[in-house]
Amino acid sequence: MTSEPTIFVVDDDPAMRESLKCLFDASGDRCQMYASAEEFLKVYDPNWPGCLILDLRMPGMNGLELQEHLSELNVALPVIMFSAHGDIPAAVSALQQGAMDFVQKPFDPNSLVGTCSCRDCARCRTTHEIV
Amino acid sequence: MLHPDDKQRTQELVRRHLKENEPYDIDFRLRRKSGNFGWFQSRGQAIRNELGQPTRMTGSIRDITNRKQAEEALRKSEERFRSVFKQAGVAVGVVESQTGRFVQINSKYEELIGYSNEEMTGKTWMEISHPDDIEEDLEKSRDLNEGEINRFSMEKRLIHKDGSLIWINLTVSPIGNSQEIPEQHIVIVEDITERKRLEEEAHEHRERLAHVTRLSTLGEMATGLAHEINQPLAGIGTYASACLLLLRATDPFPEREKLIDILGKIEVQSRRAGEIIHGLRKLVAKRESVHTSFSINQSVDNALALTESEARTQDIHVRRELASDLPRIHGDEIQIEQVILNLVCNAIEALRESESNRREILVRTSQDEQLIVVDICDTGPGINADDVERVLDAFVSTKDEGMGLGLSISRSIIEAHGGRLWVEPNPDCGVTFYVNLPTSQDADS
Repeated sequence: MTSEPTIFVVDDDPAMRESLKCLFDASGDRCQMYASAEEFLKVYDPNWPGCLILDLRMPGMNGLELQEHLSELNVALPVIMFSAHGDIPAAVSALQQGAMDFVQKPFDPNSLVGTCSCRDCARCRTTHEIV
Repeated sequence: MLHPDDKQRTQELVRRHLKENEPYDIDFRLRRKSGNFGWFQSRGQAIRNELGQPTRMTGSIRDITNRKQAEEALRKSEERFRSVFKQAGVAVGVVESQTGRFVQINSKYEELIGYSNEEMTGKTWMEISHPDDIEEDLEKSRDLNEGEINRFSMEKRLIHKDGSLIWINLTVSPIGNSQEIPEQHIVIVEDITERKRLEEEAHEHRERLAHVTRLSTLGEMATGLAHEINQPLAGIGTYASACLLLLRATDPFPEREKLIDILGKIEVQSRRAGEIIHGLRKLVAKRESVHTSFSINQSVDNALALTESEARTQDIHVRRELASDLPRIHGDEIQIEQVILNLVCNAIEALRESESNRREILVRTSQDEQLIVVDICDTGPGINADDVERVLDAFVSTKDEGMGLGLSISRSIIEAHGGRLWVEPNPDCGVTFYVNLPTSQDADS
């Protein structure tokens, strides 16, 4: 479906998804929204480049579990983990598992754009050029 | 024939009549043929000759035995009343029905009010009543005078001679024939100051406990609530950044429609955050109990809004089946919301320990005649049969970190509203908590 670098967002809060969509549309980045880890896994092709924004607390499979699952599948998609205040132990495990960044809500959207934007991202550019 | 006790008096009166020539009117007892004495009234005058000498008597004699008996009964009854009045163990007074002036008080009343009978005579009951209680008392006294009621009772405050307040239970009834406007009222006064003080203490104690439990419930929920508030805040920030990006990118004319759309979303999200904060502040505030009429479904919605994110992260499905057209409830809205919040938190807590695949909480409202029923049903591990009776007691908790105050304070709140709270195990799994509350019409009557 997509070989262009895309920011994949998995968050169960509809307002969160919508506002991130507005943000990335405005910054000119491609993005795809998913309401749950299961929904994301159903459609995701491991060859798609980009990065993954994950909410830590979600019903069903949570953010950490999805991250674990992806690394078991050898998917090297960079992960940015979202969480509410106070989930420090979870943050540590996310980073240990190779998360690119850990962001506490509420966060600074500008720095999020800076982190995710595929144009500035060496990894994506490399992937993109290879593809 | 003449009763021996009446002989002298009768003969004396006749003698005086003959001497002074005034008509006479004498009551005396005569022995009847049966041997009993009856009362008779004799009226008459002597007929005199031209020399002024009495020659014969003219007049009437009438049997007045019945009247005399009635008079005697009345005298005895008045005597009885006087002695009851004086010796009564409760405070009793007589007041004029029109002016409210005291005619008399007994010694118990003197003790209660601090004024002596002499000091009270001429004072009105309004002078010794708390200003806030006068209107109700006046209205009821008027109903009594107009014959609409034949007695009334009310709780009110009197002012003691030393200025202190006395809570009393007052009972007022008219003296005399019920057909006519009574001239006097008899007031019976019972000192309930001590009972009122205990009631007030129990009330304050419950309020304090309710506040403490609200705080501890919120403390337990803090993480979930922070998440709940951060969600919309993160949304707001993101929308706002998107706006700025758009404004900077599309110089000189920003994409107006898109901006309007996003700004509208910011508005909605900030309102969402504000409502959560507002709900929290209402629960945290130390407050006097305020009674209003409110909708139970609204209380359920408020409580579920606060527990939504906690339930979501625990992967618990919360369903609500709320009956429409329920009558309103009269009471303390915050406290009822607190009870529902406690019960829902309790259900979430129970499901946290559960390994079951079915993780469900069902909140239902319904009406059962004059009662509103709220039931909160979970699919948790349930409660041991032994604990079902005890779980609502203070300091009994089946959870490791629980104090056991939540459920017991919930029960005392519901009982203070004239309702009932109890728990029953479900046939398959988990338990259901039931709350019964009287409807508004019921509470008013």
